[in-house]
Amino acid sequence: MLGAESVREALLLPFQYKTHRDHCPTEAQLIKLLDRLQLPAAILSRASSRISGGEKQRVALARGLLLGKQLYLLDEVTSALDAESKRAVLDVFSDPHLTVLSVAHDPEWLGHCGIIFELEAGQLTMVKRNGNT
Amino acid sequence: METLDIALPKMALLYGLCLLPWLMLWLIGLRINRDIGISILRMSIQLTLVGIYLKTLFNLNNPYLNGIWILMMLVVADLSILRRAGLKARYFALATFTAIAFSILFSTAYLVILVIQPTYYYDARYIVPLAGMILGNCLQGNVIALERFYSAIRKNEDEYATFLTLGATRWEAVRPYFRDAIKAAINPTIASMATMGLVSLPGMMTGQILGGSEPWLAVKYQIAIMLCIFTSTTIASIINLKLSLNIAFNSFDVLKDEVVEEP
Repeated sequence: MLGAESVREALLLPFQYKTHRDHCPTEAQLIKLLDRLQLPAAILSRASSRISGGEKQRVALARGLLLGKQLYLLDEVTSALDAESKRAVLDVFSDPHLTVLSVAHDPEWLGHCGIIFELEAGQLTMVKRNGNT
Repeated sequence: METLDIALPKMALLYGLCLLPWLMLWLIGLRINRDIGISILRMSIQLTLVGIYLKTLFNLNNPYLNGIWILMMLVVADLSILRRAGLKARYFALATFTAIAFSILFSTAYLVILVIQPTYYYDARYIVPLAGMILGNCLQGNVIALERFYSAIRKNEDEYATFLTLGATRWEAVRPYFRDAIKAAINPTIASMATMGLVSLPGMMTGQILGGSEPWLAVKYQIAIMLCIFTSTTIASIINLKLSLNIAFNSFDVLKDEVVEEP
């Protein structure tokens, strides 16, 4: 998956690049983030090609989150997740310091969105605006 | 020790040798006899012309003429590499020419000036066959390097894009494919060096022995040419791929569609 043999390599891949080289996460940070996403620490040593679709989805999210960005562009991010994992992902992205622009059909995910636009027949219409967003 | 000549009637006898495989192919229903006939005819005409040209080249032994001949070989190799790698010559011709010209001139000059040291450095008897042999092998390596690299980028488009989105520079994102392509390009030469003399007697050595050289001298020349082939193939493939990166990708590091020939 994503150019790496093990899950650990997949997670640390961006930190081989010059842009992120000085911000490599510690083992404790890795485990903490995995735990927030309902992933066991043991997954780090597993082959990335042998983990399930839902696990792959959360590993990909973890990799993005490790980069510590403020804006995330997500496409159907809960599509392969069970209810428990979905809640974990929702919890992580509910962080008020993060801005998320996502494409979604999942009602639970949409329920947590601040602003929702609907795209129909090429027309973008705002259908919901929540709280102070 | 003179090499025995093959008289023209005997040459005709040689062509007769091909009648047996020709008949066998026909019997098993493989209808490629026309292609075989054309190939044998082309080989005969081309080599006859080269024979005439080389004879003139050796007789005149003019440095400018030798230079023009090598330049012509480089141009033909340049276009042949790009055609076989499926890349458009109008974009890559200069980059490929620079890479092969530099590597061939470097290794041929190294061999002729520092090692062989003939009376005249431009001696056609040395520089033309040596540069030709090195170039022929270098050509194969460059075709493999370019073809492997650009097919891998197209085949792994999503993976390459992921590397970019994770913060990789263009060079960092292409590096895994770059390394694989270079490895594929030089592997045949490495394998050939490792089995040389065990699996088969190399062509140049066989030619020299048939030409009357002492086996020991032929061995030394064979080692020299193999080291030059390895050097020039590696240098040319790396420079060629590196130069091509600036041409093949746009400012967003996406491979331009127009530089690749449609399959």
